[in-house]
Amino acid sequence: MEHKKQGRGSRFGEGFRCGLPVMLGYFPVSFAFAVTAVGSSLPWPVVLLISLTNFTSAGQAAGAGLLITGAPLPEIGVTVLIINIRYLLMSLSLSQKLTGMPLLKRLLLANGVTDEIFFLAMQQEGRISGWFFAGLAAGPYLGWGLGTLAGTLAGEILPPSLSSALGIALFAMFVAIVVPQAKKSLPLLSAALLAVGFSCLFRYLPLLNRVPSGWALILSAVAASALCAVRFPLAPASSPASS
Amino acid sequence: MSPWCYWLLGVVVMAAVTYIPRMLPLSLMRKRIESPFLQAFLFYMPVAVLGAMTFPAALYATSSVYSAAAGLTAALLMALWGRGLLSTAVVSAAVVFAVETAMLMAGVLHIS
Repeated sequence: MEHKKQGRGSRFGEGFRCGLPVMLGYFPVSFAFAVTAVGSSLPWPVVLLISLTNFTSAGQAAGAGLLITGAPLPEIGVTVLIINIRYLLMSLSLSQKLTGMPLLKRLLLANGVTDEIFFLAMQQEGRISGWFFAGLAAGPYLGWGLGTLAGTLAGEILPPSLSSALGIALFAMFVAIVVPQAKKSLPLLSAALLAVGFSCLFRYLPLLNRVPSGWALILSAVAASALCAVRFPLAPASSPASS
Repeated sequence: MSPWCYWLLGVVVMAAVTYIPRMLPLSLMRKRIESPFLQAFLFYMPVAVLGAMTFPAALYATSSVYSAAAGLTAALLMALWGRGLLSTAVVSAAVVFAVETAMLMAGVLHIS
């Protein structure tokens, strides 16, 4: 609630500063996406348009891959939706941080729900304001767009070994977000490790490995969170939505 | 259908199925969730999603499982050392690049 006392500009600025590392981190990731997509003969305006309207990593990479092969539109829709199904959970969690916000603001801010922005928002104490969230999302969106633009330009000259190395950047950011949290809390560590365990089962076990990856992700995360919620109930004061 | 028409329709479809799951719970769930179980569930959810997204998928994000494992280990060490998002990502990518360059020179890796 303390955010309410500040002006819109300073809340936006505070969010923007908080999102700066993600803005810089998104640049190489969308750069690598654009290099791959342009290299596979997708025209650069289409690649840029994908980044600006989708603003997501795995979903748009899969969608672009299908566009390149000329897949039917319903197949593209279902595949990308399954990959993005995790946003349902994130959006639900985030709704608890934004209680009392008008519908129109929610509809606009929903565009900013990416993995990293979501995790940064959830790390804030108490409720967060719409302007803070807008600031938080603005930098990464800019980084995503500029990285894509640069990637479409550099696509021709970049050695494949460099774009391969950029493939790890997104996951390195995930690690950088989760490790500090898991380090100081056994329940959070358990949640992360359980989810990793389930996701390995979905990857390597026969039959289970036929489950589409978007669903496997959801099932792994839901199972791990539910088990931890039973095993490690929250003390009343430490609930995520308390302000 | 012309190629451009197909590409643009494809982008519209992708944008729609990306926006809908982001928007639905946020706009429908206006009240506070009171159930202690659901509160705990949503508290653990972010790191659980993150964990499941990272491993084992990260192992297949580069040209070789070995370079990816090296990059992931580097990221883990950087994060344990308390480094931020960006430096972790940069060092991890640099390690992948170094390992893949070494593998290319040794002739055990071929990047198409």
